[in-house]
Amino acid sequence: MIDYSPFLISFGVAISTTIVLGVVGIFISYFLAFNKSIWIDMIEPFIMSPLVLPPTVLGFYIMYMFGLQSPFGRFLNNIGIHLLFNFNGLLLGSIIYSLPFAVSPVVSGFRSVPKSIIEASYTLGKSKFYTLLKVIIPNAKYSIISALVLVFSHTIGEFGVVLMVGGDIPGKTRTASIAIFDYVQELNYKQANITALILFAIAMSTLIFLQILKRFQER
Amino acid sequence: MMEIRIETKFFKFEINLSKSQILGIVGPSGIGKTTTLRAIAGLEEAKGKIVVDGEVWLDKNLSLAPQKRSIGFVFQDFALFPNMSVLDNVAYASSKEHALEILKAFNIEHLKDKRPNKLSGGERQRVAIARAIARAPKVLLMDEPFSALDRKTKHFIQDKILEFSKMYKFYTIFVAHDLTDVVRLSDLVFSVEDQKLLSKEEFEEYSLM
Repeated sequence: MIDYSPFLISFGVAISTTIVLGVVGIFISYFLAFNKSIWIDMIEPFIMSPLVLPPTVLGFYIMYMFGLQSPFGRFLNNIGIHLLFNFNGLLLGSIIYSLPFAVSPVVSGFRSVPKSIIEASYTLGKSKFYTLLKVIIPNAKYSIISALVLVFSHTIGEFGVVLMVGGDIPGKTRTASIAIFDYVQELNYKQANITALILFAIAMSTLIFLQILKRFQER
Repeated sequence: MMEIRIETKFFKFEINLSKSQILGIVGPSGIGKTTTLRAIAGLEEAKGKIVVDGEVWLDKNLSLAPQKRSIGFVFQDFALFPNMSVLDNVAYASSKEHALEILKAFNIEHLKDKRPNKLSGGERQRVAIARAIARAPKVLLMDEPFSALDRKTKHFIQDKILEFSKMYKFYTIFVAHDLTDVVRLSDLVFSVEDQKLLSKEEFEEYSLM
């Protein structure tokens, strides 16, 4: 009998993270792509840091920051916001961990939109926000779709950060990738194999989808 | 009245234009003609003063953003929005009904549903001019607007620009390499190389020298 709850949790986290980063990522990308301030060179490495940091390091700092050990964590606790060892914690950890995957392709996409069509929109009296919605986003749509697919597939297989921030509570924070680890510990290779195969199929589907998308983009 | 007294990184540019007047800017490549148009549009930094019909666009304390300046800009690379049809491009800063009228006037109504990547260079150029005029700007700025057009189409478009500039009473400033275009369309000509402002007649004599 397959336990579906880890998949439901993984899908819930992946879909929520994709939606949140779909919106937040676009604004951060716009800021990074078009802001010429020297501060961008300082901010960008922080946003991209999950690409190089071990997930456990990132998970540890998120856990510390939002836990009762830190003043900020105690403040959140006092006002009734609990971000560790629940779904919100998984979501928060995934958002931070997947942020570079949401931002990096979109920044490249935004920067590849010809400057003259952005300026044409300005000279036709349209605001920066209107230009973003009507000109920049539609002309960088393949980069945005790639980013969303990457965020989804990356989040669904995440292990280190979600384990540190969410723990391993069955039916609550045990995601599919954590479940595989638990099945192996229990020597339940059949369940581990089924779960791993499903995650493998999802990962491959997203990569194939990205490949097809690339063909459309090149047309 | 349009009063321009600006200084870009290339040269000083001082001129007064009356309603519907057309100024051609001529000079060799790389001398800063495009930069001057961009400075008037607010796309490039400039020092000085620009006043259009009593409205200050640029002075010591103020530099209006391009969005706040009533301009129509025809870019050298046309800068049509690739994600929109010809009709949507022209209607971007006006209504669809008005855009259709403009497309009809420019004889390109049959292109209305096409995307810019399906158009020839000349067709794109006509759409870019139509789009800039469709918003009925106070100032029409054009960077090499006839470079991709054949002689017959060029004359047709130039006549249309003259017609619309009288109808909407906008000021026109354009940059061109082809001196016959400058002579045919301009009331005044600014020669960047000599920093001289000439009347059409003076320029005709001057260009023959």
